[in-house]
Amino acid sequence: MKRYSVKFFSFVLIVSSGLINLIIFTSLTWDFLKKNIYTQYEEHSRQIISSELQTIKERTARAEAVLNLMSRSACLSDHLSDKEDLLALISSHVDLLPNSKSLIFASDQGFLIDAKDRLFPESYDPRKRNWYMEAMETDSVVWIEPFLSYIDQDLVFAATKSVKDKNGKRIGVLGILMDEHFINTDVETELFNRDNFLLLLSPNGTVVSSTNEALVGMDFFQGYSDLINIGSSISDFQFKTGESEVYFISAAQVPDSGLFLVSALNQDEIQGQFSKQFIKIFIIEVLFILFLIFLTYFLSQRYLILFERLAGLMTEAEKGNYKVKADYYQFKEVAILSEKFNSMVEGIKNRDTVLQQRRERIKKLAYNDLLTGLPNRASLIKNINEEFKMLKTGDRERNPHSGALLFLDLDGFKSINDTMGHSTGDQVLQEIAMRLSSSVEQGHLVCRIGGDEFVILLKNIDSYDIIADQATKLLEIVNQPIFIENNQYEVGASIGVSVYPLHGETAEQLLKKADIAMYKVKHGGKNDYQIFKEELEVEIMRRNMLESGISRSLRHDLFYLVFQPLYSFTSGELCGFEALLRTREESLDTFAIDTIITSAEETGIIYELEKKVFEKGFEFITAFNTALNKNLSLSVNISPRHLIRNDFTDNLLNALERSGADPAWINLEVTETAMMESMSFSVKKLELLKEEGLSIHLDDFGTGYSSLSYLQELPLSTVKIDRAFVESIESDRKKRNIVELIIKIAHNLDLAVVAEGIETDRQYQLLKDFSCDVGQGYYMSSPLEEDAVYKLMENTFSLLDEI
Amino acid sequence: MKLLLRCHKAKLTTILVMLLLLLFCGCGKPKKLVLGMIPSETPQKLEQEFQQMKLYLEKELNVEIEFFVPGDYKELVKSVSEGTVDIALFGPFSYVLAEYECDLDPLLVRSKRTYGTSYNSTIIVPVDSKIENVADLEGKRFAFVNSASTSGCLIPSALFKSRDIETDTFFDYYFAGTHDTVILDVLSGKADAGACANTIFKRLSIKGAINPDDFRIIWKSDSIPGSPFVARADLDGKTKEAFQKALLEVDSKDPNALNAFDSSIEKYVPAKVEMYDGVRKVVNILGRSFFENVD
Repeated sequence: MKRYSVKFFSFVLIVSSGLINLIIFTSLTWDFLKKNIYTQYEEHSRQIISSELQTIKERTARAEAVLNLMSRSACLSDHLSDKEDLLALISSHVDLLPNSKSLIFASDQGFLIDAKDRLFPESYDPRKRNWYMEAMETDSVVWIEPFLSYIDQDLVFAATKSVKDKNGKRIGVLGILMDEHFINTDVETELFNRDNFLLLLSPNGTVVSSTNEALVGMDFFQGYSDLINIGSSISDFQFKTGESEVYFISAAQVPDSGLFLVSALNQDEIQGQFSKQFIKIFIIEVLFILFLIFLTYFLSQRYLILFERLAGLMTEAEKGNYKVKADYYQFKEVAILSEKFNSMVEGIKNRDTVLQQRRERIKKLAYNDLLTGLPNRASLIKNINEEFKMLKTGDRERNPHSGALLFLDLDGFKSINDTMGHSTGDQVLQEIAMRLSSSVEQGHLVCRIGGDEFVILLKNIDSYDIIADQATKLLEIVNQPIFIENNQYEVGASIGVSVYPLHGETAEQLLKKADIAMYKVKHGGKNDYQIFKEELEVEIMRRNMLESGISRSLRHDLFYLVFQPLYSFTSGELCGFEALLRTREESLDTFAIDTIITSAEETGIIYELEKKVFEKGFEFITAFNTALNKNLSLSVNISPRHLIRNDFTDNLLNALERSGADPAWINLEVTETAMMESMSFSVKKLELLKEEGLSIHLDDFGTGYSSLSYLQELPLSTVKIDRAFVESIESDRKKRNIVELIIKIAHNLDLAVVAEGIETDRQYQLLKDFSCDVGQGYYMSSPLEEDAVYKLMENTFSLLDEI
Repeated sequence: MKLLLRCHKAKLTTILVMLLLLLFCGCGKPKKLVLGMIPSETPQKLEQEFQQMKLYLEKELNVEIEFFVPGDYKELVKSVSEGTVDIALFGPFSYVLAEYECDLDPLLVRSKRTYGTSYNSTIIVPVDSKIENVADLEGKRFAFVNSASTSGCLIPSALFKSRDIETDTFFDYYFAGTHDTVILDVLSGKADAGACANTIFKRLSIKGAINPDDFRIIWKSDSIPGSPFVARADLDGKTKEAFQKALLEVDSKDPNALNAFDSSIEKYVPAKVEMYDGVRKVVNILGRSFFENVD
């Protein structure tokens, strides 16, 4: 749809209102003027008629009076014989008739006397003329129908009267030839002209005199017969001639003479007068309205141009130029608009600023870590991608190790977080973040991508030395003690490094490989760095296989126990078993059971395994002792990871209760290292268990710190010498002495001693010599499955015999 | 008044027309001016005689002039009332008749050396004829010029009327066509008497075509105003004025052209409507029935 401007509409409105105004005004003017003019004319003509009627009346009366006077006058008949006399007489009377051309006397003798003495041809005989005959028929005055003069063919209009002699015989006709200007044309020359005219009609309707001589002789009744019976009062008519001419007629009959006086006003003439006046007014009106139109148009133009200017300012503002200011105060509405526009621009400007700030903040949030303010994972990925883009486009020099990703995971942070609370943990993280940032040169990137995981992206490097230097430096600064609220904390870091594009061309690959390397460090003693190698990946795969194997074994109950018999050196009799864990899971075939257990400890799943051990072990010993009516003991290894758990005691006691085993049958083997973590806590548990009747054995004694204080502090009943000592007891004198000494010390502390890993007769004999209490090893028996244990029982004595 | 109420339509129309006129102000000059002449002579002859005048007028008015001679006066009236002829040279009678059909403005009338602006109608007989007066025409063969002729028909008819003569029964009359023919017919005896303009009679005499001594004039009318150049009333005023001015000055500016057209014309003088009132009066008296038969 086409849209029109306000300018257009206002213009149309102005023009149309102007036109309507014009039409109404001119219409009113028209009506008023017309009425006025017509009334004016009408009154005027009636006035004229009435005054002219008077004049005509006087004149005709005078003419008639003269005729009557002369016809009665005896002198006329007296002078009939003498034409000279007659002429003199008639001529003397002409002066009485100012509006006549002449006075004539036509004698019944056939001659005619003309007061003006015009010459008539001899052939002329008045008695043959119509007018003569008409007049002779009556005694009264006859207004003769006009006719053409015999002499000059001019129009003749006359009043006639027959003349009688003394005897009453009609002897001729006296006639007054009326002047053709019979009508007093002086009356109103202004009003009457060739189109508006005054007429005098003969009784038969022939125009005998007129202000417009062209009409003289015309038969008026031929076109208009309404007049015939109008009488002497003035009547109004409308008279049409031909096709277009319309006359307004006022008419009256002149008394006595029967003549008619008619005024005819041509409508066109009046119309012309009217138009003349009307046009004058009309033009003034049009000029006035045009003036108004232009005035309003220019005013509105002045007004509307401001809108265009405002629109211009808006375009400016749209482009972002908020400095624009509208200052159009000429009109109230525009002033309001200007003001609103200004405040709107101000508002937009402010909002824009706020939006800009928010956008930056959102951007920061999206790409930065809230706690430390370091770039986050998303930012890191973006950076890495940009790196690859640059390598690809050649913006950055490309070699196999153009950059490096250092994956740094804090060691020991978790325990700070757990023990000291998140607030402290957060402060540690902030401190670390600060240190990392300050240790890394400009152009590289430090990010925090998770809890205590940081990534340092070294861009544009050219050698491994830089990586090594940076990693070392990082380790150093992380290791520096951290002071928070007067407390000192220490954390370490495990750093895995991947190098790009050598180790991958996506952020994901690089992160994964750095993670693997880091993992390696974590498992290899921590607080070190490791650059990714392909072997690490294999290692990780194996670890994964191991871990999944363990969980599968647990799920499908594939773990089972074997029992290695323990023999008393003194009696040589079987005195108990050590429960050892085995699995039927095939994927774990290639893993030593120690590796499996270590892995289970690392992943924390060890307590599940041990619950199985408790269950199966306690069930076995109960069944065994019940069946054979024995009181043999069962040793189970306790993982330190399980020991520190809160449910450890419950797990153990529940298993005991369920199996119905006598607590006295059960030996718990704990290692020194198990005790090193949270010592007092564990000791309490062990003491409680001892009170329950269980025995506590210190396993692998002699390998770790072999602290003698343990022997005293723990609620021990037995010390188990590590197989490493037993192994070398034959060849290594020092070891042999240590073993002897350990046994002596143990015995001095009222502790029994178990030796494991006895494989030879010599070892057996030596230990026996050292008064070791119990022995265990392949020399006596390999670990046996449950069935084999029962079989063994049948041959116990025979076995002993062999020994 | 009832009359006024009827005018509303006209009023509205007028207002609209006025508005339109305001919008389209300015009127173009006519591209050409059509000049018509009553066929008092053969068209070829008239055109030939008028040729120089035409060139003069074209020069003075700076407009192309088309010369038009119709078959009869009625055709000329029709052309003028339809607007195809702008200015026409009518006889006095035909001018008055034309007025009944359309509005006309008389512009000029010629003034002849001997007679001035007027002339007379005459009735001529051979010099040796026994006819002495109008009454003697009874039973004779009489020649009129043509029914639209002023001096050759209208004025003689008025004469007969004034003497109560019924032409149809009084004598044997016919229309000879032109004044020349009437004169020649009278001379040759084809007619016993005839009506013609004294000016034509004089001209033929001067030319030597006739010997005035061979004729006798038994009747002569009062003065008749000469033939006027009239313009249709709606022709624009400027053209009328220019035409008038050109002819008023032709006797001094281009006497040869005037001479070639009609050597008897001395000059042109302005014509007035009133000059022809006498003719109108006669027409009025003779009545409509008379001129309705004119052809």
